[in-house]
Amino acid sequence: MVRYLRRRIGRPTRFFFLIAITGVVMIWPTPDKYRVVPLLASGLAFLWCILFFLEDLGRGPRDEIPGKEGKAAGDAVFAPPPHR
Amino acid sequence: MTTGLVITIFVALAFDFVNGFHDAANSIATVVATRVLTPVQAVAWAAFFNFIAFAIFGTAVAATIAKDVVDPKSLTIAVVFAGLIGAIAWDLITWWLGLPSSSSHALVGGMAGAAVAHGGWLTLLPEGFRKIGVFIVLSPVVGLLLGFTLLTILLWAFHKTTVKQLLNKVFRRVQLLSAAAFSLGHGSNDSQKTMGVILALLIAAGLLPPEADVPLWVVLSAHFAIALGTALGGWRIVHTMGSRLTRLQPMSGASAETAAAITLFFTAAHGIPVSTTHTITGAIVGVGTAQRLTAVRWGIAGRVVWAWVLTIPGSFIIAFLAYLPFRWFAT
Repeated sequence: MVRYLRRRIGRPTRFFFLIAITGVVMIWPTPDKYRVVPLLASGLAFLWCILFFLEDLGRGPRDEIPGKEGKAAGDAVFAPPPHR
Repeated sequence: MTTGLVITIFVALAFDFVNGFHDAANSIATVVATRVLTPVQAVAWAAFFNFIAFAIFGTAVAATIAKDVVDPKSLTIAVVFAGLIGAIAWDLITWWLGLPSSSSHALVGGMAGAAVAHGGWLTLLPEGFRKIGVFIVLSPVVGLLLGFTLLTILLWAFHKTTVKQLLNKVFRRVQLLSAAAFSLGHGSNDSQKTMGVILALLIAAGLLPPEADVPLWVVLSAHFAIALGTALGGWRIVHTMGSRLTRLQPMSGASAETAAAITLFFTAAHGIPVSTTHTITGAIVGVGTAQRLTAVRWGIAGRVVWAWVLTIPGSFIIAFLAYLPFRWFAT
């Protein structure tokens, strides 16, 4: 399940999800007067998270090859043949 | 005014100077990294706007520092002196190591350490620390999100522009404005902390009533001290902030500074002492992320985070130790 999620969900999505969760967690300790700040921050982060997630859905699963972020699994199949 | 009070006020202004010196890179790193201005021009530009910030923002942050961090009754001249020594020492250590840690949090940690050495843990005011602690996390997060969003909007708006040189030329001009805005926010937020310390001193010495506002001479001297520190600049940290974290172009530099300036204007208006270092670093990471996640050198960002984590405890310990001689002489 984890491996499947890692192949489908890109790093930008995960990054902004983490930022959004940070914002949500910070709502609780923030004094009432300033709660609007973590609320808006987590809202904006969730918005970006959703936008990146929609982009991930539009792509196929990706290979988690180190240094090859964003390369869809299908690329390996359709790569041009080597020159002879 | 007693001699001790005068010396401590000078030490407070010295802290402000060291703050400007230590944080000068925050104001100039992006404009120097994108070669909009030479380092000399950049520091002059930043110092000027650091100084005139007094005419634009109020003194809400000063009030927080003077009254909401440590019980004002425990703020004796010796406590403030030791707190400032802790903050200055930490600032100089991190400046020497080239790490952009927060002068503001060094001051808070220093004041807390000296107050605890003087009167125990009950001298600390939880609500003040709560506000400051929350914005330790929120200010870089907000800077990051705003920087990312701004740059993404700009990249989308100008994605059809084929003449890159023209775009860079326009954003070089825009960066002058964004750097000025950031220096205004920096000058306001950071010099107000010193104002708060001096106000606390004057109240403790009985020269001002507890509900007094910051005197004009304190406002002007604090802004002058930080502007002077900025003008004498800290090149050591520029390399980390401007180019080692991520590569900056004029558009991304302007986005980072604008994002940080917006955050600082908000916090100055609401009396929240935040770290300008945290804020601009978060904004620079945000614009780097807008290019791609691997554009940010996360290893260096990690070293920066460690400097932040250690600042309050580090300055706390130094200030605690700095106060002990006063305690021994008093007993």
